[in-house]
Amino acid sequence: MTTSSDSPATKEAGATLLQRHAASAWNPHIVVFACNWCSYAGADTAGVSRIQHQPHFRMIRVMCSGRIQPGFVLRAFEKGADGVLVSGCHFGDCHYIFGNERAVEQFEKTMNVVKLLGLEQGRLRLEWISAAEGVRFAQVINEFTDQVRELGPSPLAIKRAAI
Amino acid sequence: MLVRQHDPEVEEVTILYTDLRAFGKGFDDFLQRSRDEKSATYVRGRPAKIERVPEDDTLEVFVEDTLGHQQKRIPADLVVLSVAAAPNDGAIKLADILGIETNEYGFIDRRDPAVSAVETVREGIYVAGSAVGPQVIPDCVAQASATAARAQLFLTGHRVTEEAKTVEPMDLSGPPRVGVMVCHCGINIAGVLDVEDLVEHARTVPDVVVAKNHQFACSSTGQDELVEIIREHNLNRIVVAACTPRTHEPIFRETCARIGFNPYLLEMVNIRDQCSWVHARQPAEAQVKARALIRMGVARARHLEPLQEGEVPMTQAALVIGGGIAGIQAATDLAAQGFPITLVEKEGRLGGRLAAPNLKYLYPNMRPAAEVLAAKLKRLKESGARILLNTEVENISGFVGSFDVELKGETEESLSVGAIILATGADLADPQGEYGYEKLANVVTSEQLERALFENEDAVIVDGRKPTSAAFVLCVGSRDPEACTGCSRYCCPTAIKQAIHLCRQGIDTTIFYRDIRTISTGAEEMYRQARGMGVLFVRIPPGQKVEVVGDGRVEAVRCYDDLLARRLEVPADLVILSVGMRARQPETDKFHDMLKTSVGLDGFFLERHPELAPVETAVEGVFLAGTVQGPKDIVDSVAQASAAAAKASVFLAYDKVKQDPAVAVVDEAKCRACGACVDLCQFRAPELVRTADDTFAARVNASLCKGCGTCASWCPSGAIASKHFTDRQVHAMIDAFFAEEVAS
Repeated sequence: MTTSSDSPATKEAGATLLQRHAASAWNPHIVVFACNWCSYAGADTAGVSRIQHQPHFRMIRVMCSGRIQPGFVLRAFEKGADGVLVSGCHFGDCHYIFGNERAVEQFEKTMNVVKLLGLEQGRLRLEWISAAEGVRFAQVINEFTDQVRELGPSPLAIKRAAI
Repeated sequence: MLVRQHDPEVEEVTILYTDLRAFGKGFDDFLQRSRDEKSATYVRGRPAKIERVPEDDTLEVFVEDTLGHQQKRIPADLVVLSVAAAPNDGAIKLADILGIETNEYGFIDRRDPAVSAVETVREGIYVAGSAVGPQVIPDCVAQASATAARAQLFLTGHRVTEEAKTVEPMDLSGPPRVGVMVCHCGINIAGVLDVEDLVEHARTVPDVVVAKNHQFACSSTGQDELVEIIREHNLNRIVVAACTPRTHEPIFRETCARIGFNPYLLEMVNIRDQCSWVHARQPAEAQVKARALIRMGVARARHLEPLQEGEVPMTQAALVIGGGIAGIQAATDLAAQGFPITLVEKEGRLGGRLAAPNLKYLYPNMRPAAEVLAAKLKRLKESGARILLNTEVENISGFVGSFDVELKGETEESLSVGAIILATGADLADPQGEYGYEKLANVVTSEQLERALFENEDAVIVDGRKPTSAAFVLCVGSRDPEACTGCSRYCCPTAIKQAIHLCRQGIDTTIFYRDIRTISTGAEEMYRQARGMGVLFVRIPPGQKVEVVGDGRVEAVRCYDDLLARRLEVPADLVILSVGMRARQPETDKFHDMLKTSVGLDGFFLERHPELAPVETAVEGVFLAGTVQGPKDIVDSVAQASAAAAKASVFLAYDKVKQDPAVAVVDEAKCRACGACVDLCQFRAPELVRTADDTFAARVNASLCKGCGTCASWCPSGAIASKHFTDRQVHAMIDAFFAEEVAS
């Protein structure tokens, strides 16, 4: 992110994104990190039950939410994500006992950096979803997608568009 | 729902029915969702005739809507007949050859429909699935595994020694050469996504040398083609864009292993469960997503590393928790094969619900429960299983192959087992004061009536009197969307069984129901018999409840009769609440905490897959037997228990269990020996060791590491790599998502 936000090129590309947002022709880019045992399984449950939800997210599976380090989330924002959802098992359900509690600590660290970067806090969310909660998975995705859509293109994505 | 998904232009779908028999686990939820989404209009009635309309060459269905009380003409372009399951043409001939019997319909007879899950009349010949009558897939699969358990009884002493690996590992070195196979999954994927376009897109992704499609990648032809393209194109990475890795990765990995292609160089991309199935209404967006997911999968595949599976010792013994019919059956099946089995029961006796005074007779053939239980207990005793009564499980730690169990009770001991079967059963719903329960003396549950049968079978006495009229209320505590409870399966046949019993004593009997779900063998015949005897069946609308009238004692039951379309008052001096099953507490919470086996929204333990793995859990080495997984009757519990035993013996037959090589590995050169990982890990896998150059570094014991990767994300020096989920692999996926799309 070396490009200055004041350069004419950036302004133009950024303006395009913002225009599309204003014209409701813009869809957010969302990265969802999910643990293998609960939230990824919950997304599969939504699939088996054909519970429809918004398609603007891409899932990255890891074994445990404890694996989701700040660097993953920050890289997603750096590359142009408008929102990042970190998900794992409910407390007490973690396949690895306390992995999700470590995930909370990692998440808090990440959130601090996100604030430092000047991004809205609403672009990053932490959710617990069990393997059975297909309906909840779909709800979380829909809510988060709407929330990020409301926030509009990420300032980092606008900058990146110009590079 | 599928019609609407695949053809949004269809205006109206009507389903004609008599009873909605959504009896399986989660089926009622499914039905509800279909109603909520207005995917179909449900009309209760049988079509009188179907006529062709010559003007526009369509059809018209004439039906009396028995709930709306009007005659209807339903226009239709297509009429689908839901035909009954009938016996195979050759069933009778086959039965003849095998010397087994068929029933009046031509289905193969079980030895005893009340309890024989898979036994035919002839020892050594077993039957599974729809050969005995119509079945749903989860029950067929459980029965199929149960037949395996029975067959194993004749193969006692059979142990498997892993034969030396004969497959020469393929040389997979060099720069990535990725092959992509995109699966149609029939119309599951191809009905929403343009598979050809996905194949074209895959060809443009860096390092992809070949991309193909296949109707069903997981079929044997699909697997063969996979092998073919690996060999033909000298591939060293494979990406399969199909369904979820959680169910199908093992299948593709096995194919890879078979030809010496390291299974960890395979990547699965989930374009079905998490794309075509959930974004069917936005096919264009779904296509964009599927393209991105394939790019991300290839990006990850390029950075995958070959891994070698390790082995840890398998303790060839199992623990069965719960001494009801399911626990007894599972313990017997395993112990009879010669495995050391411990069966723990918290009560002072075995038999659970089958034991007196809970159940007197079993439907459909009124087999005395005591007789069945005695025979099962005799087999259990002969099997050599160790039985611990008045004993509870205090704690369980460890993993498949070596679970450490602490028992408390008559004996206090620590036990090491390789596999665990949960058979802790279910509770019956508490009516919680509804329908005058516990306020009016002659309102009882179906269980209490069963107990009354023990005291005086020929003249049932409740609250000191012999009733002259009885009313059964079905679905008490079942089929309640608020409580996420589904159909309890056993209550319809049980109520009919009990009604027949009361009717024989000259008691006027009425059954208040929502749908009659006589789904088990012989239950439909019981239903017919009961109607013939004069038992009245009154259909009540969903969402409405019968009203119990009386002061101190019930005198009558009032309700709206859905079929007569008017309010009724039926005299009753006995009301029986047919209570549904609930997940047993506190056992469910307790074992969920100890074993981390998932629990469904209905509160019951969640099977790994309803059709593919109905008795397994997501936790390796932990199996489900009986009602711990969901409501079911005796015969289905027995089938599931045997299936659980068969699945457990797959592990117990080996003296080693394969270990996932996707573990954490420390780069000693980068490690500062801070010990953060040592403090963090719940499995004590990392430890600080003295290195060759006389400094300290962390080292991860691969046989203790479970591969969660938390230490890798925690390590302040970035010295720990989480194999198969490395930083580089995850970063590559993120980058690939945005590689093409962000500018658009």
